[in-house]
Amino acid sequence: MDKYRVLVVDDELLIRDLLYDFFVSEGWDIVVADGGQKACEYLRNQQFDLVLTDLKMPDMDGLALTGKIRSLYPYLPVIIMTGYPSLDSAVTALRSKVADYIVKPFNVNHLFKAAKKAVDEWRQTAGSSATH
Amino acid sequence: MKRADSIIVIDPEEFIRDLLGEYFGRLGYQVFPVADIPTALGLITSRAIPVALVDLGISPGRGMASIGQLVQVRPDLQVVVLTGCPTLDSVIGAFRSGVFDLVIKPFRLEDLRGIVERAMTRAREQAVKADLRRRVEDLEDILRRHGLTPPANERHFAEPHEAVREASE
Repeated sequence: MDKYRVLVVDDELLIRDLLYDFFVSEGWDIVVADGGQKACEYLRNQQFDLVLTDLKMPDMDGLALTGKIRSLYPYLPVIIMTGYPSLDSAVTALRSKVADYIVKPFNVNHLFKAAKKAVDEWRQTAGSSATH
Repeated sequence: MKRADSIIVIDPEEFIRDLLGEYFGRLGYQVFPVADIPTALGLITSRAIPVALVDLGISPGRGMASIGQLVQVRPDLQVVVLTGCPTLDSVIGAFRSGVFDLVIKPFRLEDLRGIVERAMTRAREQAVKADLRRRVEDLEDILRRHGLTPPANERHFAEPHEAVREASE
């Protein structure tokens, strides 16, 4: 089985560093981006099993990024992380078929569990061939 | 819309049951309005109803658990949650449990109609996939029973290849 490969998109360096160290320690490949534009660049040129994205970012919000991901890879799992949760964004995220909506501050073990579940389900049902 | 398309409306409010029953009934759907989960469980077990409209207030404080009961007996059921008192936890909980959509009351009937149509489409697609999976399993079973599964059937493919190789030498 290939290593799981995750793209983390967050404008906060602290979150990027935290998630980088954690996912590497769990044996995952991880690429980090500090905003939506950079993430789109990575997504066009590399393959991922999952995108973890912040909701509020200066250049592009996480829901807009999710829309762009859906146009490139309709089934690629996306998890939204946010320090500013709202009913509207949660419902919009639900309708965009995100795999989960995680409120900051989060327990990194819970986030990892959600990430693994999303990738396992995706690999089991759609598989890489459906998205890449 | 297919003639057999049916919806179960699970809502404690009679007004909502009547409203949705009349609206979707006029659109040609067969509507089953019920006021409690046990009745709903009986109906979805005995009838091939593809879509459920469920008010979270159907079991105060246990709305998501009740939806879990419905999905447990009918994993193919497309659940649309209706709620007049949404909370972040209930919205997140709803989509973690895999509901098709969530609609906040008050809603426009036209919007709900669109959601129901999409839920019906999803139900049909899933039924086709399930049917294909069953057929593949049946075929695999036939192959197994006739000893045609790998490695038993490898000789059927290997022998002609051997013959071609020998002929070309």
